[in-house]
Amino acid sequence: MKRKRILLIIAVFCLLLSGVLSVQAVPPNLAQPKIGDSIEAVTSYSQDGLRLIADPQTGEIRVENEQTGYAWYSNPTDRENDKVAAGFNKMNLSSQLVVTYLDKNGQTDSTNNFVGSIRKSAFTCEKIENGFRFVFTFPSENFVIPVEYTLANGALVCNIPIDEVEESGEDRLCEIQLLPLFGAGASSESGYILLPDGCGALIEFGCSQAKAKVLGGYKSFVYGRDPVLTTTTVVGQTETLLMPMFGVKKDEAAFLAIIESGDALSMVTAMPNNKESSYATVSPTLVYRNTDNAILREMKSSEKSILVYDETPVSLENYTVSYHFLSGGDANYSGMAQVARRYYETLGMDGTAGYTGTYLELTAGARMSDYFLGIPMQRYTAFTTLSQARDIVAYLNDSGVEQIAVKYDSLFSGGEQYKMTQKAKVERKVRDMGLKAFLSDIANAGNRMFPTVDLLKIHASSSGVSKKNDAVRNVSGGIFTGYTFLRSTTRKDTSAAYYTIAKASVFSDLVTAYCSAMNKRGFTNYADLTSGNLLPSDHHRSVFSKQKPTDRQQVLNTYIATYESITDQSDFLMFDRACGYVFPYATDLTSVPMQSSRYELFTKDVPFVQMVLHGKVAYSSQSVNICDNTDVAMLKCLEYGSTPLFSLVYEGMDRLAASAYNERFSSSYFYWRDQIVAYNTRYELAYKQIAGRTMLQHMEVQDGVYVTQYAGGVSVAVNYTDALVELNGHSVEAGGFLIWEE
Amino acid sequence: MLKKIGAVILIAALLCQGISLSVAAGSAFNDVYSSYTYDVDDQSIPSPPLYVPQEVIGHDLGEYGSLATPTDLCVADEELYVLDSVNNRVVVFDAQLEPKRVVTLDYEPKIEDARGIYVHDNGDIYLALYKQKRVLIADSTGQVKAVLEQPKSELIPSDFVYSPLKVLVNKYGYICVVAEGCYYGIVLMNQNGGFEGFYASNQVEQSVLSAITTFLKSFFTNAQKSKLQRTLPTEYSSLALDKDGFIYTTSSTVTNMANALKKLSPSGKSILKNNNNKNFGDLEIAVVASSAQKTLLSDLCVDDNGYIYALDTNAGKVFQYDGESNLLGVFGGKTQQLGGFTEPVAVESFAGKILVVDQKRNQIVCLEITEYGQMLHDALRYYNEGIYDEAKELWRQIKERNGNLPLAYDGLGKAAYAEKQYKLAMDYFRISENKSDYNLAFEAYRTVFLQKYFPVFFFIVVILLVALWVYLSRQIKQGYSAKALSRKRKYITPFYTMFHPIDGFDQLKREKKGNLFYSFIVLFLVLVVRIVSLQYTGFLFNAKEADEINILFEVAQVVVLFAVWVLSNWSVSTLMDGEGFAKEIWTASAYSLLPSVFSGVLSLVLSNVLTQDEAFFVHGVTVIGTIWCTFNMVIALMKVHQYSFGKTIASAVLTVLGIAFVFFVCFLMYSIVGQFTDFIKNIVAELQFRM
Repeated sequence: MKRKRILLIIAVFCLLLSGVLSVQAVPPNLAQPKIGDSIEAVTSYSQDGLRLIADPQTGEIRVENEQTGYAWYSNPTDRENDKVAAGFNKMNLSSQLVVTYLDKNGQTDSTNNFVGSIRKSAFTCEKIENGFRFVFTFPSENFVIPVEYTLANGALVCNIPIDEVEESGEDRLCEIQLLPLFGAGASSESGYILLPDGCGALIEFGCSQAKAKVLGGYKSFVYGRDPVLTTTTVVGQTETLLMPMFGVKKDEAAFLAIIESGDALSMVTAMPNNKESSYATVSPTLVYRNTDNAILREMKSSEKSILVYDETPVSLENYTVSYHFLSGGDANYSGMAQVARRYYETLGMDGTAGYTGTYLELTAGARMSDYFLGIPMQRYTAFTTLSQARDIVAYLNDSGVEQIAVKYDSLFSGGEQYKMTQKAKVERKVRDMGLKAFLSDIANAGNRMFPTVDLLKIHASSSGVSKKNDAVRNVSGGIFTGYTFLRSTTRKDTSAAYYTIAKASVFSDLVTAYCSAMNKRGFTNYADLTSGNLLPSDHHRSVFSKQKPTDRQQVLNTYIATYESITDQSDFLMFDRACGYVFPYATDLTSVPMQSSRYELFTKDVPFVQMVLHGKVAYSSQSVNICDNTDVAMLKCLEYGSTPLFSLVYEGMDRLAASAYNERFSSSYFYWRDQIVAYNTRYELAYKQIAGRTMLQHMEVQDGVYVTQYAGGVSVAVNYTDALVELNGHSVEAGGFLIWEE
Repeated sequence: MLKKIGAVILIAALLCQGISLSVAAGSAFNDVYSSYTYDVDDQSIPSPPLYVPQEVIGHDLGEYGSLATPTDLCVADEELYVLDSVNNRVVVFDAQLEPKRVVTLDYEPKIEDARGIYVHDNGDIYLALYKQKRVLIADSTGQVKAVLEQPKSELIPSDFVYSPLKVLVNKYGYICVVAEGCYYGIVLMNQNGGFEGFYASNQVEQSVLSAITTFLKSFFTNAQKSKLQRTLPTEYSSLALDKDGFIYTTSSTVTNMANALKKLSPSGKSILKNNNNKNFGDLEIAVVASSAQKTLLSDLCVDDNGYIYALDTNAGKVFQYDGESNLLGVFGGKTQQLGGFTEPVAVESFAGKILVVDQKRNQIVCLEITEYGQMLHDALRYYNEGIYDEAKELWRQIKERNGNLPLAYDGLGKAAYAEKQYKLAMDYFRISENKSDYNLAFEAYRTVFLQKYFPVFFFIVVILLVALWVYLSRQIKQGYSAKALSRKRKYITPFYTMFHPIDGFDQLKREKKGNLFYSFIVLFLVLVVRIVSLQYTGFLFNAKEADEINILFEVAQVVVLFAVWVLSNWSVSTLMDGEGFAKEIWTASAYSLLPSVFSGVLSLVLSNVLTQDEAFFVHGVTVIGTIWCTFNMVIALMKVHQYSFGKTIASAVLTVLGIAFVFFVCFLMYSIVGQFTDFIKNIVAELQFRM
């Protein structure tokens, strides 16, 4: 009896113990409710055929197409089966926000709203007009971040009201990643991520684990990295994320997300399948506060890096990202491009691009090391004078190349990389004929002349501009000094002089001054080399002044106001290597990328930017003569609808190598002119046929054969293979193209 | 996919045209691959890419899975063997880079530490096992035939640690092994593993530092000596065979990068042509945190045309050289882009492509030649085969396609020389700064010129000789009267002291006949000759290019050095009971420099008409001028200070030491001021960050 009692007690004890152990063994994240599990827990809102459903228990949302029933989830529904994600990445699968912050010791740390808020039940959900509002409180870090999801005009709009974000503790909020898993693609699904990196790139789903292990993820600043941030090495060259967008195509559906507010303060992150989790993901990140690793005593033995950050966060009211959904035949990157184009149309990209025969990039001259009686000095050497430029254009006109757009570099006094050229004074050594006569000779034949200016980089102080006082400062408060980077060492070329970057307000004044000077001298077109691709923030850090930093969005707003103010003074506005923010103002864009950064992560390049621009803004390729195969480059131009750009000098090729223009290593006019004429003869009709039409569709019909369709039923096929290809009864020769109209 | 072409209006049949394409689709815009070469001033300069990445293989080999830490490649019988070390196998690819089969090694322990692979014509596979310190020979099915342990011989020191990196079999059937830390050369073994000796033993690199160390060592005890780091010859890092059976090597620890790449003769001498003794690898070196980021050549391959591809593991770049050590281009880099590397360890040329193994990324990057690269290769080949017409046309095009390439001007120069257009060839060689070929062209040009104008020259030379004879005979007659004449003059001229130093400087001192104005004229002439000769010395004899000269620096050099000389000599003479005043020292010193003006002008003239073979005359004139000046200077000091000859020499030596002291103090001041300003700057910067 006694033994039985003892046995019973032991048995009960064991049971209790196992119960306790089993409770402990269940990971808390498995206990989470799944979206769609309990109808009561879910609230929904419908508009324009879309239904927005929010789960107040888990913070998750989903958007359903009421017609097709297809749903986009903020977090993958089968995430519990994920075998790749572990630790923090596993928690991220259930999150809508991932937050990076500096703790009180200045160490960078990360958390997400699942760990930091949802699991602590420290969040609320309420119904607002057209949608829902969540407020996530992070008790340990003392942050409050509200997120609003609404439906508007057939799109999901996610918004973080920045003025309602709170940081009350000692931790400093740095980055907020929004909806990191929205539209995540599983390996088993077919589809891709689209990034407007360079011309546009796809990351197709299905990256194997072996491959993903060695691939880097993608994290890039919209409009390029802030130049004032510390850069020690530059290996290779990369393209810029030109537009504040990204897209996902999955099965028969797709979306394009557009960062509508806070674009200049954003980064876009993309991961292939099996990297951080089994899903391929893409999402936007807001840089809430600028941080930087400042380098003390750079390249010296005592080199040291210090983390510095702004006291105040960025000045932004709302961080807004809209998700535009596509289905059926539009659910691909072509469809995404149509959405992107309509977005830019609402911002003012409403022109029609006419036919341009070719773009010429002429180098007028360069300021370079020279010796006068053995005394070293910097002197201007002319490569293409006014009369030579006129001869070049006249020869090409006479040979059948019509309506040439001339980008004339380094034309103004002293040349580029010298004093500011806001006075628009033509360099004496180039002016071998009257300017009026020159301009009328060029314009009479229907050509357009664009003398280029760089009113941002300050190479030397000159009247009205101080290299130091008018320059932007980096996060640690020092004047930003820019250098070129050597291809060999990948480090700064400190043997050359540095430049600084003008503050936005100074830039604005310079543009105003330049435009009136330019008009006085008879130039009618404004051509900007730098402001389309150089967007610096400006930080003042001093014990004495409590000046607030100027963030990139504020700088961008100043740029835009400047562009708006000069549209009356300039017939055409040209931008070189420009980002999306100039699209509504530009009439001509030069050197629009013909490639992506070619990260190993990318599986295809697509002409996404070209599809947005074609028919609305005239644009050129990168130089087709400064590449390793011009025949192929020309074919690629036609595929991308890009007008070819030829970079030329009239004379002095042997001296060009010693100048700052040594990247234009194949520019001899007399070598290229007859080839330009021959290419024109070959491609002219095709370009005339597609001029002014929007590009509707681009696709690879078979290996090495691409078809681009334009509005009005015009299609162009190009064949890169070395075999004849049959397309619906018509043959396209090897290395040839075909154009037809339906 | 295509929309139905119903009412298709073909705009024009003409629009459908073909062009010949040699390059894969869409690879024409390659701005992201920042390829470069070096210009004549050894500065990096952009170049069109020679090779562009085409694909990456290794992650998806179908039934063969994926690669795991591939470490080396070898091409044999038109197949590519990839050493897939962690998977304990060798993967064999065909010329289309499709995996064909795997050879799994029947060997325990595994081959995870294999660093090098070589496949013999008979199909045998040789593996260099790094940690197991042995070479493995297996047949084509993976059956182990032999295991060769560390060879034994009294030639091998007892403390030698044998860590094989690469292995191959030379054309005589010997096994060549490159081992890490092996400073004695390449280990040579027979097929049974018997030691046959060290091949191509590396020499200790002689430098000033090593000479001083050797000298100092003779004073040390044995205990002290053992503490010193041993000066060791450099070790090899890899080796490769060309199609003629020559062995090429790379070395990783060389101090003189001109020795980093070698082509070995059967006797082990380096026979790679390197005319200008240029360094291999990067010529621009960044110094980061006090350490120079030097090129580290870890592997190489030689393609069928004799082009050398050397792999820099540090920066992840491939340097391509032709058979004469001319750099054709550099590509690659440590990036996440297609064509970038993380840890590249081996390079191989296969089926016209270049393959680079990245052991960290478990992949092989396959690079294809561009149109420009092909053009460059063809031009070099045509020239080597003596087909000058084709070569010339190609070089002309290459110059147009890449104006930054000095080699293009070189090629054009050689073509012009072959066509006997010597003047044109000289112009091209001048741009490419190729002195040896310029010398040939110049010599030929001079011969033609002399032949053409020989009668005129002969006439001029005869007249000059006669005039000289007449002049000299008159001088001898008047020799004595010159002395008399000088007595009558108020001031003595530098001309007089040049030929009559003893009497001249005596008068200068005793009768105060020195003239400050004359001294300035001499100094001015010295300066002018120096500047003019810097600019106009013949190309063959000019060490500096005209655009490298900084005239202000040259002026400062002459003026400052002269002033410090006078200052120092005056200081020394006050201590040594010299009787000269500062003004006298100045004047006498300046006077005695006059011979250098004449020798300078003469060597300037000669440098423009003589070739490198006759360099003796140019240098001879300079030497005579210098000796003359020195002699006059000694006499001048002797007379000015009224010293004995011995005391003069002593004071001159002290004067030189004085100059060194002055410069040392200046340098010290400079560096102290520099450090102080750096210190202040750092404090300000730190304060700025902390506040």
